[in-house]
Amino acid sequence: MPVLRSQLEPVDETVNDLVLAADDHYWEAYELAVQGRPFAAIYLAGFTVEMLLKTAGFIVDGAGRGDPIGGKLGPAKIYGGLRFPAIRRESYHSLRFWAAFLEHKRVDHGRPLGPALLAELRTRTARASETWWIEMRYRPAAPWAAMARVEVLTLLEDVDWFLKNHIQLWS
Amino acid sequence: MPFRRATARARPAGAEDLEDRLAREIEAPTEDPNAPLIVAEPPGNGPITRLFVIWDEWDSISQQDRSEIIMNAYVRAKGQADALRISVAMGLTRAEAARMGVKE
Repeated sequence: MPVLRSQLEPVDETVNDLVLAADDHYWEAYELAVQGRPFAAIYLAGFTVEMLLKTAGFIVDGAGRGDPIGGKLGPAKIYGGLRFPAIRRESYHSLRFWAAFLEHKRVDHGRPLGPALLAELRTRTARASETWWIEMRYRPAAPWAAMARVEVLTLLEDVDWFLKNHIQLWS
Repeated sequence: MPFRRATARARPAGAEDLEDRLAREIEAPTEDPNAPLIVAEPPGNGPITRLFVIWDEWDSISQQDRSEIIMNAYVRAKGQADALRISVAMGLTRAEAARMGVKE
């Protein structure tokens, strides 16, 4: 009898869970790309960016590695609605939303990102958002395989940048 | 059966009632044993940045929905400026609060 969901679902995921999951999903995405499954690779790679941005923002806002995520979403919704209302949350999966959250929280805490890092963050978030969005899960892969093959490597490069700069984004 | 289009994301049943009751409790705390218990942190007189709402009525509601209900109620009771300072809004049943070590 399957038990994975019953084991995982009752436990609220933590900041650290997301950081570890981001790393896992990056390598899974990489493997899928190598195997010629670019659409699935993009789907997982986008989650990696989402989790890295989300956790960077939460850590800047005072979260510890063991803190549960659930209680941070309501405040993030209100914060985004007041500070950057034009950016949609996309059910808390929007890369643009989490990048803006990070950028604004750093300013609020008196630690704005330096100009070079901020420019990279904005450019790579915008580009990743042009390829990945959460609702792509409802789209079939085959009709878009050629387009996905073109975009997957750029997205993986961007994900690699987010992984390598995660600490700089929150420290 | 009537046909209607779904809205963006349905709120859980009873969410508005919970939000109303919580907003009232934040505005004017009572001694009602069935009312939500609101634990605000940090201790002292500084600005509140974390809210824990201990309430067994959360039982069937997801963590995300609890957090949104708390923040909606807080904005109504305290206003946007105070709400912007909040980084954690967690709804916990009494059993969950005990497991997490959140003191009533």
